[in-house]
Amino acid sequence: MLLNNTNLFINSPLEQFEVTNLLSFNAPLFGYISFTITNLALYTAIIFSVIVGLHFLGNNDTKLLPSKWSILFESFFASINSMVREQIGREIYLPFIYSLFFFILVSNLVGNIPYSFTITTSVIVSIGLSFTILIGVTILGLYIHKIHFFSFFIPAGTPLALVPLLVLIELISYLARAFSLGIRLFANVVAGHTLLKILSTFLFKMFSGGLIIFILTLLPFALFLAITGLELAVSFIQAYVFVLLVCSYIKDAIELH
Amino acid sequence: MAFLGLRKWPTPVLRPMAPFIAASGITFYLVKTMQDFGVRSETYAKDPKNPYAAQIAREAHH
Repeated sequence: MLLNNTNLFINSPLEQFEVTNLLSFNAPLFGYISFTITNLALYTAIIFSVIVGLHFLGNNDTKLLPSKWSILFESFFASINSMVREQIGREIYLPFIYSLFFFILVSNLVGNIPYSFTITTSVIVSIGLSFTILIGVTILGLYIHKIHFFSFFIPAGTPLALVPLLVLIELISYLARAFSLGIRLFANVVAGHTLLKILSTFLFKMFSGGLIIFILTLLPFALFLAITGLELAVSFIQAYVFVLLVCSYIKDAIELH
Repeated sequence: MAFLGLRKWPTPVLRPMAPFIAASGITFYLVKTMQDFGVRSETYAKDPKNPYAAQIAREAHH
């Protein structure tokens, strides 16, 4: 696909997902170094600043009376804490789960702003994250249980004759977790954004078609607003589902059933 | 130790995260291998937008 940096018109609804170079530094030093700041890097920095800034501003300095922001962050913390305690039983992975939840939530929400870039629409971010989590969970399980970790692939109560087939099926479903976790997030966000882009292009054409068509277009526009609201809900839900499944996988690694 | 002037509680962060840090190293290595493979592939090795095009051409000559 051609980069359309100078063209103001968009050619395809998938162009919003292109990773473009914003600032580039190439030099034939130490072999060859090429350092580029892409729009993905810029938005990752923006998301990092938003998360750190919000937590810094929402900090209430241990005052007894909560401010509005600290009520928000305390309720987020309480819900994630209760989810982690319910799934894993201990709070030891809470910093990781909390950071992961906020990273995915804020990435999805920042991406919902018109004309911005959603970093979770990048395959490297979504599937790289889920791959890293699966490999981390496997290393954790192997470290805790050593060779007994492989008993996870034989469900309780299987007849001995079915064990080879079942181990193969369980192994494949375990390896598929790496991709399903990331693809669930990736596909939901990409599909939602593509739909919004296509609908908004049609609505723009219809709105610029004269006074009567403008008034008639207000009804599909209300539907489009509802779909935008749905997209905001999907941002929250996908972050929650991702984090819930990560808790579940960590529990599987620690308890092996 | 404090971050931006906020208080730090003694929560263990590095020890529970150690498997995931190792996993991110493995993922980084895999993504780097795939990127090198893509940059040097037939389709993109001579692309004018490829910043490594000159270096790959030089290595191909030697």
